[in-house]
Amino acid sequence: MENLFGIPMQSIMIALLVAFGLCLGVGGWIYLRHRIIFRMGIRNARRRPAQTSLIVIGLMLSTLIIAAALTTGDTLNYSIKSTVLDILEHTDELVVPANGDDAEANVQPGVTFPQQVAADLEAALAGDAVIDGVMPVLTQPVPILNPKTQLSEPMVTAVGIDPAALGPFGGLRDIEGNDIELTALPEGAVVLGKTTAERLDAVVGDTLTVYVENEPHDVTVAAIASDSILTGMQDPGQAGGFVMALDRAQALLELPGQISFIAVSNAGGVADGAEATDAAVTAIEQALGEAPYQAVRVKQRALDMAEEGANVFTSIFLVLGLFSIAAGILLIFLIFVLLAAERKPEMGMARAVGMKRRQLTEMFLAEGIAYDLVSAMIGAALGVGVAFVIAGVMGRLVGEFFDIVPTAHWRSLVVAYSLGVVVTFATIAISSWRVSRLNIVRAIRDIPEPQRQRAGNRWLIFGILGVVLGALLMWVGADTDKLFPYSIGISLLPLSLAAALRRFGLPARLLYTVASLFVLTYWLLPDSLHQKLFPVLSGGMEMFFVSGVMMVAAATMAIIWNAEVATSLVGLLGRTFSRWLPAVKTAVAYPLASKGRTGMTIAMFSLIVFSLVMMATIDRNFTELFSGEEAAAGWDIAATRVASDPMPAFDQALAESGVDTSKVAATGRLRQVASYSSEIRMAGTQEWKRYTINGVDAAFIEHSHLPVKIRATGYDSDAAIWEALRQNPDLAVIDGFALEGPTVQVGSPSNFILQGVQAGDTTMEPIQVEIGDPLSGRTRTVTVIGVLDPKVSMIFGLFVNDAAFDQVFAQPNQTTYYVQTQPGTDDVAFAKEIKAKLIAYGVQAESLEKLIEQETAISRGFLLLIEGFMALGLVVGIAALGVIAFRSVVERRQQIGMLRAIGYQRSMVAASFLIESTMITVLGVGSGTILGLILSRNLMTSDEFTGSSGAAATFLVPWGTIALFVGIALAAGLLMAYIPARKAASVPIADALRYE
Amino acid sequence: MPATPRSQLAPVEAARDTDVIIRAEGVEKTYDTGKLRVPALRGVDLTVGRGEMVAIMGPSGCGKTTLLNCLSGLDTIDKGTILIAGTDLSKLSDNARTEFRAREMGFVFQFYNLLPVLTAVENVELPLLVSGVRPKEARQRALEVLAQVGLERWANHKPAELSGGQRQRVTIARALVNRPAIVWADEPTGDLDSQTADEVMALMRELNQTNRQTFVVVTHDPRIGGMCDRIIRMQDGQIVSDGTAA
Ligand SMILES: Nc1ncnc2c1ncn2[C@@H]1O[C@H](COP(=O)(O)OP(=O)(O)O)[C@@H](O)[C@H]1O
Ligand SMILES: [Mg+2]
Repeated sequence: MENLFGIPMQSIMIALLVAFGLCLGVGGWIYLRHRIIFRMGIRNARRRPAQTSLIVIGLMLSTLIIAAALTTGDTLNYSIKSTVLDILEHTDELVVPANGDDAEANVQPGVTFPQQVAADLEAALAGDAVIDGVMPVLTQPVPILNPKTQLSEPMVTAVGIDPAALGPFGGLRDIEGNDIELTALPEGAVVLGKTTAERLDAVVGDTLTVYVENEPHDVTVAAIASDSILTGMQDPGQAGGFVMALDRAQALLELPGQISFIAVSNAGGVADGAEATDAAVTAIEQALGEAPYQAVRVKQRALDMAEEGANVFTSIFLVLGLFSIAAGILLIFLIFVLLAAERKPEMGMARAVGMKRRQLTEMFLAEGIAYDLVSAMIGAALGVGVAFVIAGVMGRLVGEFFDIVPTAHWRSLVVAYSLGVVVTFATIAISSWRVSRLNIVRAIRDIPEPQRQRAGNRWLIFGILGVVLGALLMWVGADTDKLFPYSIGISLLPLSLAAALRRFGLPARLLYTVASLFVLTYWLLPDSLHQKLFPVLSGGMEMFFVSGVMMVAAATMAIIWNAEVATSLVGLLGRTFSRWLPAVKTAVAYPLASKGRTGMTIAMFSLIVFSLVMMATIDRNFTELFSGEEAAAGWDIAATRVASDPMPAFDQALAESGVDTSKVAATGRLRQVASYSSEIRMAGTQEWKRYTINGVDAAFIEHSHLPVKIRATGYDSDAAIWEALRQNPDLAVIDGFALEGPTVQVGSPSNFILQGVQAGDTTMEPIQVEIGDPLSGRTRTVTVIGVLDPKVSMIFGLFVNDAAFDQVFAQPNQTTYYVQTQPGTDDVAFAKEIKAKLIAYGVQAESLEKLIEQETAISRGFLLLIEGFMALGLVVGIAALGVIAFRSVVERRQQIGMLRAIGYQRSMVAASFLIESTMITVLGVGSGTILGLILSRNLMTSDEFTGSSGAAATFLVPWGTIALFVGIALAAGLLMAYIPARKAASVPIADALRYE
Repeated sequence: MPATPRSQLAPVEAARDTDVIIRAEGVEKTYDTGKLRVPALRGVDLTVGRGEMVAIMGPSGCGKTTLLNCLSGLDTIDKGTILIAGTDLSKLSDNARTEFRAREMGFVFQFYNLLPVLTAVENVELPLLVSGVRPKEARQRALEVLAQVGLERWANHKPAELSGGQRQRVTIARALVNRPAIVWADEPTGDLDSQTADEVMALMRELNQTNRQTFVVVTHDPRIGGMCDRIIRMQDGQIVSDGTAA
């Protein structure tokens, strides 16, 4: 990967290496200045191996997450790029009839132009240093059948290339690597692409049937070559095709003297050829002069998209990984608090004999750096491991399109390692400073710090600073329309105010409760109320993290300061099972007494569970949204045809080919012009935009179930809208993707946006738009009278009736015949039958239910993968519980002895520990679940969301998934408490009581 | 003071006739630290009658705490027998022994007497709760005993908020709240100044006399010893003298 969040990786690496150097420098400085302190620090690390390994786990987590995210990016980047290069090989640019801007222009099926253009171009470019190859290519989609195996593909690409021009494109080789001479092949022989060969189960020597203009032609397989643009594979995941010499292809396809595009190869190899793209395009454009053709930067564009795609994934993994990183930071802090508690008497002693406070800080810091350097190394290595597991899962999900090759780039590892070290160092520095504040006398006698009613001036100062900072952030956010600073500010302000007010002796509990409830209200208020009370600002994916951190902080504070309420509930339980009451009493008292530890552990669990619940809920509702009953508008089978040669009416074609039409309940036709070959603009504006445009026939309208989300005034039902559209060629309906909404906009900037109606509106005024065909040059105005409900996820674009369509468009890019089957029909089998019997027409038929399933399977797979990645954070919470539980047994050894002496049974002591851990886990998991559910419910039912994606007011809760997460957290929590609990139960009484 | 449900105290009831509550014979105990074998008790014979207040005295390290722990069943012995109200605690299961302690014994340890996370009254009511007394009743009795030791006003404070003497009085309240037959006290006044020590000691003596409970008090303070019925002196793990206080 070259960039991350738009910053070059190289710069990120250098900056981080500088910061890393600073951390090392601090460590070195402590070492040189006070070797003793340094050695004390290191020795402490060696003293307790079990504890040390828990600490290492805690410290390595940030690095692990970062390394996994970056390496996943590397893997995707590499895998997509190599797939792209495999397909394009030496082809760097294409020349096609002018059809749009750089980002969009492409080869258009069915559009051909004279071969002479290639000859002229080659002549004009002769001697150009940048370009070393120009080759005319003809491509046409054709149906193909292997009579031997009865396997067919309705749409493969027949390719004709000029053998004389093939040299600079690397020639043509079969899969064993032997050169293929196209001119030496006998008449009717073709070179078959690997994927097509696999799908047809064809081998060399087989005779295949190709249909051109519905007429069968026999071709024989002379060789099988790897998939590339030269053998008919233009994009990963397609069916591929076959290649023959250009003149023979022109004869077969009945397109004499015609080609579809001119392939251009830049000087240089497959990978570095793309570097000369700009120069090559300039040269091509000069050579083309005024001719109506344009150069398409296919390779550069594909490589950029690979980079972008990899980046999107890295960003998703990083932002979602932030939850685990935040939990990891809390864990580090917690570990240091515990370490300090353990060493309190020694530290007090050291201070008493003259060690300065700064030196104590430095001692912790030295120890921390030693831990840090080692654990970041382990974290980076494990991160790569995690990324490779992710790569394995992705390979299963998208293996059809890309060969996922696990790849770790050294630069990513350096970035992950140094970033991990720096983040951990910063946490350690703050923790060290914090824990080295202690009262010498109290420390030596190991007396707990008293809780003061009235806080010191320090709180006042921090509080005022927080209030000022919060107000500043709110102001900046409101001023620049950014939710990110505003929301942090509005959360920080009340909490800081509460801290400041403590100085004046107001009860802390009241202050913090009120402040945290205010923060929770801000985040959890339903949309409608929220918009009335607070400014509406814009934010992106980062808000997911901010909302999580702020809500969890506030909720944890509220819980901690009101834990008596929660614990009295547990106490009530204890009353019911009175035998366990004493165990409950102590279990409840300890976490209440150390609010800091308890709070941090609750917050860790809460944060991770919050993020998991949010993801799972969004996942569930989206899946439901796009794969619900309405997704296919009531149709069962889609039979799609790309070929433009004539075909009888669909019903007639079915009957004539011997398909069992008694299974058909209804059919409808939708002809589609893809966004790259259509034009659309708001009436009266200048610039043409792009959008998919559909012409639908009366039967389609009659039999489809197409709910309308926003109706134009004057139409009081969905049926009225469709009836009007059927009769009147001046009317149109458009889908929700054309609307502007505050949620993420998909698609490129040249996508058409419908003005005058917003996502979330319920009614609209009719809106005039102009549609056009760049090939025929015809245009027409239509009036949009409705916006389609996005629940219809399988059908999209602008809809007009057949009459309007025929007035503008010369021919569709594809025609889809929708079929409703009789109840009880096996749609998958019936689709297969249609596909087989209509092979001559190149009809590709699929069960819509199966298509939806396949699509959601991939997206669900990715969401599950991401959830699994996020669940790594649970390790943090579990480690924290373990650290605390082990530490508690050591700390409370004498107290356990005393309890046993006064009559606590062994089981009671163990139960007390288990109840304590479980209570903390339950509080954390519970608050995380509740926050996650409320927030996702608000999100899913907000106008903004329902408006742009149409989620109904129904909100689905993935109880199963949530139960799984909660179950794992609770089980792991119990397990982590079980071992120390057993240890505690077997403490020898007299021994425990004896020593101080 | 309301009547204790004496039915719970069957073993003690049975031993009442003899009026001997503690009988130890030939008790030996050696600590084996792996490197070092420390003979802490070297043949101790001892009998204590019901309602007696016995002081165990002797130089530091002579085995006083060890003896107390062994007699009360907190620690195991290598040789000899110990009968408490006729019951050999070492023959009981850990659970039965624990229950016996909960019902029949009260403890005042040298260190670590109170749970720092619980309030005074919560600390005091713990022994009642472990022996299954209803929470309401336990709280009421704990408050009564706290009142007896003069700490009703401090019932809802945590140990860290109390002075050393107050803390020790809470401990005594806890040791007495379940009306135990025997109270074991290991240096109960060790950390206290002499005036507070006297107050605490006087309190124990008073309770001993009103409730006819047996007290075994380890101390190295002769003045404390002087307030008891009987002084047992130890040296090097053996009893060297046993007699009524001068
Ligand atoms: N757990 C132990 N391991 C080894 N030696 C011990 C242990 N407990 C006590 N001792 C030793 O046993 C002897 C008696 O100790 P203790 O009963 O505490 O004496 P006292 O209470 O009279 O001061 C001392 O020498 C002490 O060092
Ligand atoms: Mg002692």
